[in-house]
Amino acid sequence: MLFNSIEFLIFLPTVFFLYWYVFNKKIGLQNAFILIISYVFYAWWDYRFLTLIMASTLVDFFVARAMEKAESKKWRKLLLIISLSFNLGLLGFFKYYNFFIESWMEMWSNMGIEMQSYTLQIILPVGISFYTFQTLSYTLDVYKKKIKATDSFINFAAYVAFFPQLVAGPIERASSLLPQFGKKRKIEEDNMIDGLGLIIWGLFKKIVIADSCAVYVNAIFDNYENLNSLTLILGAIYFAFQIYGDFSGYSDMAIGIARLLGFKLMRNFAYPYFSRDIAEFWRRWHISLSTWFRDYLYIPLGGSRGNKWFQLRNVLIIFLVSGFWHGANWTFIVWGALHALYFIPLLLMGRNRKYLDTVGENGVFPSLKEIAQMLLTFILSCIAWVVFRAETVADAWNYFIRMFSFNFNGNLDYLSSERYSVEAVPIIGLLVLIEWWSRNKEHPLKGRYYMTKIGLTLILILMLGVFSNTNDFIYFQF
Amino acid sequence: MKKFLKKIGILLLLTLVLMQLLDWIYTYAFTHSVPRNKVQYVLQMEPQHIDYIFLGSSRVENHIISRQIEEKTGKKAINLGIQGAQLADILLMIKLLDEQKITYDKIFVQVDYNYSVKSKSGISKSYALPYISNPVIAADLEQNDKRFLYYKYIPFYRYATHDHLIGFREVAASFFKKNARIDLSDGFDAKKGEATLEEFRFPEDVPQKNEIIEEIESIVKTEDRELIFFCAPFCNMTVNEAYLDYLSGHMEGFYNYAKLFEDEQSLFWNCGHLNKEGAEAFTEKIIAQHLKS
Repeated sequence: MLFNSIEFLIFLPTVFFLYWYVFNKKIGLQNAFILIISYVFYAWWDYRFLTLIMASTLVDFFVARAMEKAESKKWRKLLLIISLSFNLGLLGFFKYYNFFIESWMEMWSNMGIEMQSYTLQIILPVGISFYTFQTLSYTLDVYKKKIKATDSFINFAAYVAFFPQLVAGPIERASSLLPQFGKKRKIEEDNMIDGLGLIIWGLFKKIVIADSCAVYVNAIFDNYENLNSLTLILGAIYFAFQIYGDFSGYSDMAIGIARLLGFKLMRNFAYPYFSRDIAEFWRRWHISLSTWFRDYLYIPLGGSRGNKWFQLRNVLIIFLVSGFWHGANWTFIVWGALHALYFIPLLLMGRNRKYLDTVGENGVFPSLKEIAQMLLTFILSCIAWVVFRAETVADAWNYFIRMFSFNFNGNLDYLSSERYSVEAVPIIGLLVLIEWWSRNKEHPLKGRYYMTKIGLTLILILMLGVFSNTNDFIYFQF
Repeated sequence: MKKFLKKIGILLLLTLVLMQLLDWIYTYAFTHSVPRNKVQYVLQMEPQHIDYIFLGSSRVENHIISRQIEEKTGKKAINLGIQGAQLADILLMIKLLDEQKITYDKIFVQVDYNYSVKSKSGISKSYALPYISNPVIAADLEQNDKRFLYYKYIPFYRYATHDHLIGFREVAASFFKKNARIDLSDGFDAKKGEATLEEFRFPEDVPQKNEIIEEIESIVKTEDRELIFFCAPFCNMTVNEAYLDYLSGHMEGFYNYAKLFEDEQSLFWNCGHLNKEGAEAFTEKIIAQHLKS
């Protein structure tokens, strides 16, 4: 069930009404209700994969309970290994099995040895990377004694399957979300009204920005061999905004929906394209994943302690794993490697934590230096996005060769989607302007003239939204 | 909770008002602007006589050059082929021509693999949706589209669900009086260059009959007008050609030009579409065989 579907338009008000007016007597009842509707929400895609979430939930619940009671460190470690093996094993099988087999066979094939294929027809369960990381954060925190294992199975199951963020995050920490299931939720109207704004703003980013850009991106990337450099540059820019609108739009909607139910989820995006360097970009893009890797991989690896070579190794590992988390394709690994390449110079110069504030915080316009910094960061991210979007690394390479040939032909390309390649530029310009004025706020609709801004956004959604060709959220595939 | 529910109520009301307002604006734009597609063009035509009319999909739109016919024969011709159009769309166009009191001597209808397709195309249906109050279009949609009542009674629904063709982009172009990409009074849209030819596969089975063809025949065939069915050229990489042989044997007035340029692959843009040079050669053939007095 997509947030931007008719089904969800019926689902959400029904859930809202039952949650606050029927199951509001007892917190346990409310949590059980959340669990059931979360499973219904997930089963809408494919009910068979519910067993995976349930299995993951059961294993981690009992492993954590056992860990809590275990006295020896060895026994705790063994339990952690069981949890990690089970969760990462499932993820590895469903997401990476075919990739490893194919890569293995290709390696031998390149050496002239042909091997029999053992690939399987595997469907990737929606959101498996997200809920696996969420449940792992729980067992890891219990192992490190940062939190206590919960004794409520319903609360834990509801935490793992919480429908607003189940399939595409934000990836919540057990220490933040799980305690919220243990407290009575109160109706906080201002919080709810703000949640409504987030939902509408997220919807705008999804169906106006992302889905509009998708029309051009698909036409450009599917036919890049026949298009000129200007169109290919536009293709890279459009994809940067498509993936931003798509993913941050989903996150905003998830956070907004959670607020309607009295929960607070972490912020996942903070205007990443206004970053002055790549380090700042990663503090503003997919924050829940970046901080997950920081806390559960980078720091355990030694983080920024030790000599520069040690730090370099850790940074490289983080970015490569982050790339690989996105999908079983070399393109994602190269995408991660590119970001590592961008990041390493900042680390070596000790400038990776230089920009912790918001650009132009006290002024209306950025300085020329800031404009140049933001442009450079954006260009670097666009180059990496081309690799991310391409079908293969070879496709990405050919795309670059054509794009950097600077062959402009003097013509605007007319795309297979029956429109000129430059036509989406005003929509992107509109988003950039709105976000620039709002860069100090959580979201652009917050603050004064709230209802007027919501009204105007609704007009934009109705007029500019893409309703005829609803695209799945890109991050569902991860 | 009252405050929140009140805001929700305001937003719902605002959404409904906006939908109605936008529906009026979009409908006004489509009914009062220079035509930008062929359905709109036909609906704005004054009663008149056109000697030759060509109907079909892109295999007509990209293949028949009305100007060339007019120069060679001195008669008036128009290409009303619409990309993606199926027989159901052609039938609607014929009904609209009659409603607009457009008379003609000969009408050419493209028939090929579309003989197996009974549904309407998304493209020409989208073009017709702004004119849902037109009785011909309303009757056609009511008969062929399950969502007809939604289109009719939910304001803006028809525009939202077909936004790629009749959405904001098209409305803005209409307001700014931007002309259509092609000359609609001619209707020909040239394919330039040569694309890679790939195999084209006809359906395995041919339906025994096609009710839409029968309806087209019943409307068009009168004493003073001639109905010609034709299949435009394909490249030599087609599979299941028996499909066309069946049509040749069973349809009265069917001309099969599928193999006309079998050995001249340079005339093709892809297997089902001729390029500009191919279109000129094909139009010449049509003139020679059907339009020379």
